[in-house]
Amino acid sequence: MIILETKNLSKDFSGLSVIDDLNFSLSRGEKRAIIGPNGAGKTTLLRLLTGELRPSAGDIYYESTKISGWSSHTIARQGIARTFQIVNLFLNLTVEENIRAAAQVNHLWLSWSPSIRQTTETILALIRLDNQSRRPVRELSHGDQRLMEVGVALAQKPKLLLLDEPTAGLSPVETRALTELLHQLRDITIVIVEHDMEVVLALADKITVLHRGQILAEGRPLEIQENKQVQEIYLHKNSLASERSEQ
Amino acid sequence: MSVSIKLVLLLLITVLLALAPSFISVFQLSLLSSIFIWGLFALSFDLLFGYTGLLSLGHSVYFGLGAYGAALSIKHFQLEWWAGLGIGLLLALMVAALIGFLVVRVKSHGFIIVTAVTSLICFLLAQRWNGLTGGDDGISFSVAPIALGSIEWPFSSQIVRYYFALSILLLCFIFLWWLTRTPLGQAWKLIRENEGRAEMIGYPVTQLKFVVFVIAGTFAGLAGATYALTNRFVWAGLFHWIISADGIIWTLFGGAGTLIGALLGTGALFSIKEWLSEVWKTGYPLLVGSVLLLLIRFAPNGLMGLARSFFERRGRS
Repeated sequence: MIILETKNLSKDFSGLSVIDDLNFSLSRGEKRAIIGPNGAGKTTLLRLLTGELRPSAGDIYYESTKISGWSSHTIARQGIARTFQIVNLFLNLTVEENIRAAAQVNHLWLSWSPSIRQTTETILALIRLDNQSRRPVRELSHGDQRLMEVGVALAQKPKLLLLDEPTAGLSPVETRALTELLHQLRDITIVIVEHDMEVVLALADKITVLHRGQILAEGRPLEIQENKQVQEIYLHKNSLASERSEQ
Repeated sequence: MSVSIKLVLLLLITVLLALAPSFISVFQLSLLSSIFIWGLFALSFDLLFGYTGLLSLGHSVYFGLGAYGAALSIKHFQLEWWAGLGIGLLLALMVAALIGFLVVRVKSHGFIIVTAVTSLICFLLAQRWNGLTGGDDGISFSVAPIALGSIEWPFSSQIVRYYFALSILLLCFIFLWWLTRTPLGQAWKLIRENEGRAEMIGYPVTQLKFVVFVIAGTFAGLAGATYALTNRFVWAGLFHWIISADGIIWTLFGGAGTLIGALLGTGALFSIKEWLSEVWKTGYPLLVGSVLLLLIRFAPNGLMGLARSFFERRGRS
């Protein structure tokens, strides 16, 4: 069953096309990775899906309802949550306040809903930051702030979770912990934009390769790895880049 | 500091203020009454600026409207004090809703400029519309006493004015303290901290800004109406943006985003001003300015920030 679909979606900035006539669909419950070289339009696609950007043309359907043109907060309230490539949290508020803010959003405005405390505690335990709940987020390590990004998104109780390079800047140990956490999320449809192929292969049921705002290839991880065009345009470059960074 | 200690402190201060007329002079009572009224104005400003991060230079508009709403309705229609108070409050609420609808969509510097313009327009209108407002000379009026059965408390009595301003301030403080602790109050803090992220989580930022703008405007209107009733005089200068700037200074001096800080800041600056004006009659604004600069340099989070770091240091040692 399709949860999200884009039809002839395009986005250009001052005539420069970043997403070009894109037809993309996602089944409920699947874990999809989006990969592609820098400038392929991956983050722009996430920004279009969450209403941060308005499409230049085409439409977005979520659970069969057209959501293109809707505001970000309305889309978020339908069950689409997003994490950011660069940490984007309430840095001066505590860990608990950040999670609670996201958990409370769909409840009453003048009294705290009793279920909020439980949701907050569950999320804090899941991201293993329950022992740091009173600390301001700005005092956390980069790895923990990345976990907080995921925690805040999960506290929204999303049906569709969009992760924008969640492991960027993490150590191998932290990357493994985050991958394990994402593995545990069975009932949520996940879209992950990621450069780390190990994370992609460990998580994704299916991979979409974007190139110049269009789908270059789509399929199961093994099919993508063996795709010659993908190897030429992205995977080869990516492995060279990883080799260089390892050196 | 725990909530129970805060409540005990608040109760002690309330009792002290309630007993104050028996041991302080009439002049000091008058000074305290002014602090209560302008403190309420600062409280309403703190909601907008300290909690939500909206720096408005047009907050004086609602103070002026509250004051004129009460003054004109009492002067021309011989209404009771409570009806005048209600009309001042309603007028401020309606205009705040109208202006708020237009300005909350404007962001950062634009918001400061647009709100300053609203204040300038209202000030010039009030100044020129002499027949209605009295312009710079203002208008005076008399208010019927507060009556409870056969007992009457006239507004000409300083003690009545003192208790009247104190009661309104206390009621408003308790309400606003509760409001800032609800999810709605917490949502305003999210806007101050990271507006974009709050929107992405699902908070309707523009609507939330509108709500806080109207509530803050209404409470500024209530402060204005209380000012009118206790002074029985209003003038065009109440709309001037400089009054909004005073609100900013009082809030920053006490500590923004704490409510109690806005009250402390107003009280401290009023008292410092009184004291320094006795020390150096002509040049006291220079001294007040120096005190302000020193506080901003060494305690950017105001008096409440100083108190907080003191308690934290004590807790650690």
